[in-house]
Amino acid sequence: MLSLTQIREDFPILSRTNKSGEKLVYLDNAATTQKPNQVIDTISNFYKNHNSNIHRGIHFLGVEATELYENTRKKVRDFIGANHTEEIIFVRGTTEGINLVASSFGSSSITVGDRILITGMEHHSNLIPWQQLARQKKAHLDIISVSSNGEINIEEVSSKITNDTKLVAISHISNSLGTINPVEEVIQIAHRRGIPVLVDGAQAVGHQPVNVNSLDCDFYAFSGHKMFGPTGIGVLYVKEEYLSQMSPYQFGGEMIRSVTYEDASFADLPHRFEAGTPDIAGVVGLGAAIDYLHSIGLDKIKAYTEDLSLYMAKKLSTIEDLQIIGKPQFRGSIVSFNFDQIHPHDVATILDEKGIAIRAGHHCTMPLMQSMNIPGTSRASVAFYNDKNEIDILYEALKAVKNIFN
Amino acid sequence: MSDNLKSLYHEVILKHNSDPQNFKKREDAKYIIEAYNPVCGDQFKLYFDLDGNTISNLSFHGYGCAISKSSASILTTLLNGKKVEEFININDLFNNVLSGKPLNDKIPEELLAFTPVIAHPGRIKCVTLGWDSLTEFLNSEK
Repeated sequence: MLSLTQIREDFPILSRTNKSGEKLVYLDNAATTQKPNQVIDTISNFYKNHNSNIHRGIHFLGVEATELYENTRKKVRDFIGANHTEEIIFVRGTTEGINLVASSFGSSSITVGDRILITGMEHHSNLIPWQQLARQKKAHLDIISVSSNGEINIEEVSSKITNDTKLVAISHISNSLGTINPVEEVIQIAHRRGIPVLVDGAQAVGHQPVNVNSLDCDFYAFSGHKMFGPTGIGVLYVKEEYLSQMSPYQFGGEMIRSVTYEDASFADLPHRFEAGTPDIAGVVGLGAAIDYLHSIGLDKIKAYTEDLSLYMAKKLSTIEDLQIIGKPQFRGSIVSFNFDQIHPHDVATILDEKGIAIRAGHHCTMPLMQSMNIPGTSRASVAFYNDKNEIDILYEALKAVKNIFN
Repeated sequence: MSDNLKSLYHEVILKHNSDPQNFKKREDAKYIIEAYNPVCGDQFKLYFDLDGNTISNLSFHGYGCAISKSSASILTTLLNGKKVEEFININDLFNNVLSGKPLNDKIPEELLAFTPVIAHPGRIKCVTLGWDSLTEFLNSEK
């Protein structure tokens, strides 16, 4: 069991109230998670005491900042079980991580007639980069269908992989439906055919242990702000064998070895993928988030949030005229739902008046919504600082929503 | 229910939401324009004719939240048979109200049901969705 009182004290924002004085019930964790004092203070301390640019400072602040930055890279390596520090590239977030792979790996490895395979439940950030790459290269984008329960069929994965498939990209956990995808199996199937796999880990990291080594994925992207760290920082893991094949994604300072007017040679891995001054404070804050997660324990976090999420799905499903959208066998911390005749934005506005923060809309998965024949959903998503009492508050508020429209 | 909510989902809004007026497709309309909000996916079509300067046979159809649907419904009831200048005038008055300016007694009473939405800036676009698309169309026709 987690010590919830103690944990909640670490998150100052959780004591907020809305304009009507209603206590915040924060159930929009899939959009972004809140930050503990440990992260906030680390960032503040960095700016107060260590701020400097990195990798170039002769002065002591430059040395300290570089050390903090590079030590966090090692921390991330250990956190996700990567073999090498070079395999950790700091990016702005999951979106940039995936775009980096599409731009760099994609430009060298995808050609006319090739195929890229993704699922029908991908966030736009794991769909549009591949769609546009396919268009540029005259390649094809294949889509694994999503069942009414919100799951993919592993046999369809096998059948949709062809000799022309050059990459498989799949979300670890669906941001719209909460489905935990069978990424291990997908990776095994793809690897039997020699095809690399990219995993969008935005909704997984920070909510469950993730080990890229045991998953054996080739690319894994995630965001700091969805794992209790700061916004503007994320991580792309690239397996060593692909790293060396990939050319730089952006050009400029920090990523070079030597430059003439005519030519440039590039810095060692992974720095050649980190052009320009990075979000140094963000990286340091991300390190604090990792320390914080370790202090609670990711196994405990996973068990607690999945139990809470199941409780939420079960409780909400007892409300008349409310449908749970997606009923996967394995659910992460996310539950989507709809009322028969009430628009998700009206639901979210009424909950907002009661201090309850949820998300409503298409959740950046418009094609998935179209395939399910719904314009959007209301989505509640929990973290380890939420509790069953808050789910009960949500439940009562949803019954009130229904009353307003009856 | 809090007083805020009672007023936000005013009975006028709830009534037009559950029983929208002039809610029908009309493929032979002279003009069919789209009112689409990509943020939330609300999507209506407005159907109407223009007889000289007069808006006629105005109807709407599509999908949206209670706020956008009721506002579009009221739009059709208020402006059918009205001149373009009258639409522009009412639209200006309505936008003034929604931006928090003092009430003007010339504004049709039904539109005052939307004033509580001012406290929800993220929902103002829902109120103005149909109105904005009609304004944009009329501007482009000038």
